[in-house]
Amino acid sequence: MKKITLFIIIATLFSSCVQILDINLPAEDRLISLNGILNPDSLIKINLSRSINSQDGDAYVKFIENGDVSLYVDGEFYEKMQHDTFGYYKASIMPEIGKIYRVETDNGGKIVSSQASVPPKVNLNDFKIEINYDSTIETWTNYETGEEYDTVIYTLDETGHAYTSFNDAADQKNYYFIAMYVKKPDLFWDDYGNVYIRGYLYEPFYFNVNGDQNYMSYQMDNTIQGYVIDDQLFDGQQKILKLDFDSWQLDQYTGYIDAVLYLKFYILSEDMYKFIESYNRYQDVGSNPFAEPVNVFSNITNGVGLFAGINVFTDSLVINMSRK
Amino acid sequence: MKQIYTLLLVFLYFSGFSQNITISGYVENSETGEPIINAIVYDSLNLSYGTVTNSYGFFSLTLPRQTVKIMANYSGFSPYKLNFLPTKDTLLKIELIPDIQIGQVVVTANGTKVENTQMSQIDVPVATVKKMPVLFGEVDVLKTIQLLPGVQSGTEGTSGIYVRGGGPDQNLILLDGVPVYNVNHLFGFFSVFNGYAINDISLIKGGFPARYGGRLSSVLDIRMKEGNMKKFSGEVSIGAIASKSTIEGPIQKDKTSFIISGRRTYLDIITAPFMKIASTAATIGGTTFSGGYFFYDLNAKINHKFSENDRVYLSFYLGKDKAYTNVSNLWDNDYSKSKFDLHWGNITTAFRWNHLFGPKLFANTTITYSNYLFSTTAENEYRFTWLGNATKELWRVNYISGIEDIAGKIDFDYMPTNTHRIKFGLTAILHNFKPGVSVLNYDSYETGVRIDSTYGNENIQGIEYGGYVEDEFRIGRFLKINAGLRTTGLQLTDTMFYSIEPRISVRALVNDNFSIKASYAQMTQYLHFLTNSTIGLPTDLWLPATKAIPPEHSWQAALGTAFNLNKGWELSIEVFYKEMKGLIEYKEGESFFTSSATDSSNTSWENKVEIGKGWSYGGEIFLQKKIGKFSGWIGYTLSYSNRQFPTIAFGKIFPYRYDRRHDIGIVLIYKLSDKIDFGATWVYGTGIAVTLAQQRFLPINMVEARINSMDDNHYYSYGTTTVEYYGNRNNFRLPAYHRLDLGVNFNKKNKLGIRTWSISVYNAYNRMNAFYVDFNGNFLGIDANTTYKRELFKYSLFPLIPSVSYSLKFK
Repeated sequence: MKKITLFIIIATLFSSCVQILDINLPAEDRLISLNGILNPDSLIKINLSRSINSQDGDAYVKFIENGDVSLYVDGEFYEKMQHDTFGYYKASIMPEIGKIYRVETDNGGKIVSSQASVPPKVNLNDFKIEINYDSTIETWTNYETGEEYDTVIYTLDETGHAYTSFNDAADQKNYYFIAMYVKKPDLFWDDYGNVYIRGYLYEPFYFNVNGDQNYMSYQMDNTIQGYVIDDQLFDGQQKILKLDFDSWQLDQYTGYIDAVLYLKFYILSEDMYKFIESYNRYQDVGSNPFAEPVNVFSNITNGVGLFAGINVFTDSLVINMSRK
Repeated sequence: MKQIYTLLLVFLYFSGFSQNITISGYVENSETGEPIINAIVYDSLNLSYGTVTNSYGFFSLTLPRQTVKIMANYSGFSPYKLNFLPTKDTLLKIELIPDIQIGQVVVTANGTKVENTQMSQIDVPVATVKKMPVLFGEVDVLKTIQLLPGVQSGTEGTSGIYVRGGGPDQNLILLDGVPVYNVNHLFGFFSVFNGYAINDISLIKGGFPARYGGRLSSVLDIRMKEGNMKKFSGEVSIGAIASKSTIEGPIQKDKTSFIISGRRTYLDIITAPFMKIASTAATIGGTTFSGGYFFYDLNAKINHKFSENDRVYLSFYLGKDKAYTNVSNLWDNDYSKSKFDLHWGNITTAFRWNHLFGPKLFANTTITYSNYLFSTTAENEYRFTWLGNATKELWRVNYISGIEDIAGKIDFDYMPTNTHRIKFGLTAILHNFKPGVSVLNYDSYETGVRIDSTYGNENIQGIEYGGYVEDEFRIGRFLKINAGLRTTGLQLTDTMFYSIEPRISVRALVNDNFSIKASYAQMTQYLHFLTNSTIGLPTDLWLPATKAIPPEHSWQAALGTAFNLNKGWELSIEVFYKEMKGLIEYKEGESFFTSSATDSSNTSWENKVEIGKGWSYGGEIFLQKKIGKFSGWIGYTLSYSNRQFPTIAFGKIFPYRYDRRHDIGIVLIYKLSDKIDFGATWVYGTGIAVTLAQQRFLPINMVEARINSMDDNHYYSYGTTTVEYYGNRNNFRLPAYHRLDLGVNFNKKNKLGIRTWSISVYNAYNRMNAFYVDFNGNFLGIDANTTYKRELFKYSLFPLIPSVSYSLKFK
C-alpha cells in the first residue's frame, strides 16, 4: 500500500505539464480567400479558395470551382464572371483607369466582396545600362609560326549599373515596384526526350536600388523579383533610379543571341502596398516567439485575400555583350 | 495683489476657530514603538470629530474646548480611551496594545471604509498575508494583491498586477515612498518584497488623491517596518527554496531603532555538489560545467527620534537576481572556456525627515535614490595549438540597461480645523534612462587585433517635477469631499511636457454604516514601459516620453457604496470607467530582439512601437473581514478592457491581453487556537486573451505556386503556401484559470519564542492551468489522404506543489 501511495504521489507531482488542445473551428466559419489583381493589360480575373483550419496542412487547401461571382463597374452590375480552372473566374473586360470594379461572391449567406481600381500609369525614362571594362594588352605567341602579337584582354567591373527615372505625381502617396528579368532563347527536350524545341527561358535578374539594401524586397512570382519604393522622400519630383547589379549576371548571357533584359515598373495601389509590406513582415517574423504575430493585409469584406489594382510599364534592352 | 487678498481670506477663514483646541500626536504600537498607519482617532462624545493617522502615525484633531473622550483603535489592537478636559493644545502619544483576543475592537464609522472619502482603496493586513498558503512557502505581497477585486493576475505563477484594465507599468509601486521599477524575482514568479520586513500595504485603484501621480492605474504603497523601539526581536525562516531572517531592536530605547531583514534562495547551493561530481568525472579531455540561479533581498532601516517634533528615517533595499553558467573544455595545454552571466536588481534608498511645525502642521521631507540595472555578459576564450603554433582569442559582449532616479520631495499635512485636512507638496525626480548599451571586447593574441567598442542607445536624462494641493473637507456631518489638483511636467533636453490633473472624491454618509461615494481623477505618466513578454523579463525597458512618443494620460470615474456589516464585515461595491491615451505597443512583428521589420537600418525603439488608446470598465464587489478568529475576503470583478492602435490588427478594437471578464478571489483565514490556524485561497479568472491563428489562407502571391504544386488530382502540395489568419489581436481565450491553495500553521511557544511549522499545498486539486499555448511542428510535403495535423499544445507550469517551512520568532 505504501508503494502504491508513493507512486500516486510521485505521479501527481511529476505529471505532465503539457496537454494537447483541439481548436474546433466549425466548417461554416471558414473564410473565402478572394484574390485578384486589376491590370489594364489583362482581363479581370480573380481566384477563390477556402481557408483551412490552422492545424491542417496546405494539402487541405481547396479552390472553389462552383462559385457565383458578380462583377460591378462603377456600382452597376456588369456580368457574372466565368469559371476557368483552379478556382479562377474571368470577366470579359479589361479594367480601365478611373473606374471602380467590385467583385462579390457568397459564403453561406454572407456577401464576400471587395473593390479596387487601377492606378494611373507612370512611364520610365532613359533605361540604359553601363558596364565598365578594364582592358590590358598582352603579348601572345603563335605556336605554329612563332610570331608574337598583341591581344586585348577585357576585365569586367564587378558592379554594373542600370539607370532610369520617372516623375512622381505630387501631393499623394504613391507606391512603386521595380524588377528586372532576362528572357533568353533556349532549347528544350520534348515529351519524348529526343527532339529539341526552341523556346525562351525567363530568369530573375538581381539588383539593388541606389546601392541601398533597405528597400523592401518582394517576389511577385518566380521571375519577377524586385523592390518596393514609396515616394515619401521625393513626392512630386523626378526620381532617378540607379540599379546596381553584379556584372557576371550579364556576362553569362554573352553566348546568347537576342537575350533581352526587361525592366518592369509597377505602379501599386495602396492596398497592394499594404499587402506587400505586411506579407514581408509576416515572413520576417517567422517563428520568433517574442514578436507579436503579423496579420497579412486583406481588403476583402467577410473574407480574406486581396483585390487590388496595379499598372505596369515595361521597357527592355537587348543584351549586347560585344566588347568591340 | 490678488494673491495677497487670497492669503488674507484664507487666514481669516481659518482663524475663526480660535475657541478650539488641537489634540495631536502619534499612535504607536505599545510593544514595538512603531507608528500605526491609518489608526482611527476620534472623540467618542462627539462623533463629528475624528481623523486617521497618516503614514507616520501622526494625527491632529481640532475640537471645541470641552470635555473629550479620545478614542483610538486599529484592527488587532485594544482600543485606547482617554477622558479629559483640554485647556490648551495637547500633544498625545497613544500606545495601542496588541489584543490577543482580537475581535473585540469597537468599530465606528470614523476612519472606516464607510467614513473615508477615499474609494477604490484596499488595505491589506500584513498578518493575513503571512498566514496565506503560498507557492514554495514564499510569502508574496503581490500575489496577495492579485486576489483583490479590480486586480487581474498575469500568467500562471507570475507576480504581475493589472489594475482595472491597466498594464503592469501603470502601477506606482512604492517601497517607503521610493518607486521600485522591477518588482520581479525569477522572471516574475516571486516579487521583491520580503513579507517579513513589511509593515503596511495599501492599494489605490481609483479616486487618486492629488498627492499621488506618475502612473495611470494604481498606487501600491508598501511601508517597511520601522524597527522595534522597545526590545530586540527577530525571526528566522527556512523554506523550500529560500531562507529569511530578520532582526530588529532599539539602539537607544524609545529613541533609535533598526531593522535588518534578508532573504536568499539556495537552489544553486543545493545543486552545486551534483554539478561538481558530474563535471570532475570528465575533467580531462572533457567538459566541466557549473551554473545556477539565485536571488536575494536585503532590507534595512534605522530611525531616530530627535524630539517629539523631529524624527528621521533611513531605509535601504538591495535585491538581485543572478543566473550564470561556466563551461570549460580542456585538452593538454589547450582549452576553451565560455561564461554566461545574467543579473538584474534594484537598489533603493530613502532618507526621510518628519518635522512638526506645530500641532496642526506636519511635514515630511524625503530624498530618495532608486537604481534598476540589468546586465548580461557572454564571454568566450580559447587556446588552440596546431603544429606548435598557439592561437588564443578572447571575446566578450556585455549588455546593460536600466533606470536610475534621484528624487527629492516635501509633503505637508495641515489640519487647520476639524473640517479641513490640507495636504500639499512638491516633488522633483531626476531620471537617468539607460535604454541599452552593448560593449564588445575582442582580443586576439596571435594577430594582435583588439576591439573595444561600445554601441547602442545613448542614456537619456529628464527631470520630472510635480506639485499638488488637496483639501479633504466636510460639509455638515454627512458630506465629505477631497478635492485636489496636481500639476506635473517632464523636462528633457529637447522638449518639455506638462500636465494639470484635477482630482475629486465625494462621500455622502447615508448613515453610520452606509455611504455612497464618487470620484474622478486624471493621471499622467511620463514613463513608458517597453515589453512584449508575458512574463517579467529583465530586458523590459523603461523609457521616457519623447517628441515622437508623448506621455500617457488617463481619466477614471468611479461610483460606489460602502457598508459596515455586523461582526466586523465590510462590504464595498464599485463601478468604474477608465480611458487611457498614449499607450504604446510593439508594432506587429517587432520585439526587443528584432530590428525594425520594415526598415532594418532603423533600430530605434521609437520606430518599433505604436501609439494607441485603451479603455476599461466594470464593477467590483469586495466583502472583507479583518478582525476575529475568522478573517479574509471575497472579491468579484466583472470587467472589460480594450485597446486600439492605428495599424495593429488593421486598427480594429481588440481585447487587452489580461481582459478577464470574471475574476474571483477568496481568502479565508481561520484561527482555531493560538497553536493552529488555517488558510485557504481560491482564485478564478476568465482565461487571458492570446493571439492564435485559427485559420490559414492562400495569399495572392501564392496562388500560382499552389497550383503549380498540385498534381492532376489537385492533391499534392510541396511546401507551405498559406499564411496564418489571426483576424484580430488577442482573438483566442485560454481556458479559465482557477486554483485552490491550502495551508496550515502550527505555532508553539518555546523558550526562544514562537516557532511555526507552515505546511501549504499550492494548486491543491492539481489544475493544469495554461501558461501558454503553441502549435508544434511545421508543414511538410504530405499527401492529403494522410491525417496529418498540427497540434496545439497547452503548457502548464505548476502542478500540485506541497511545501513546508519552519520559522522561529524570537523575543
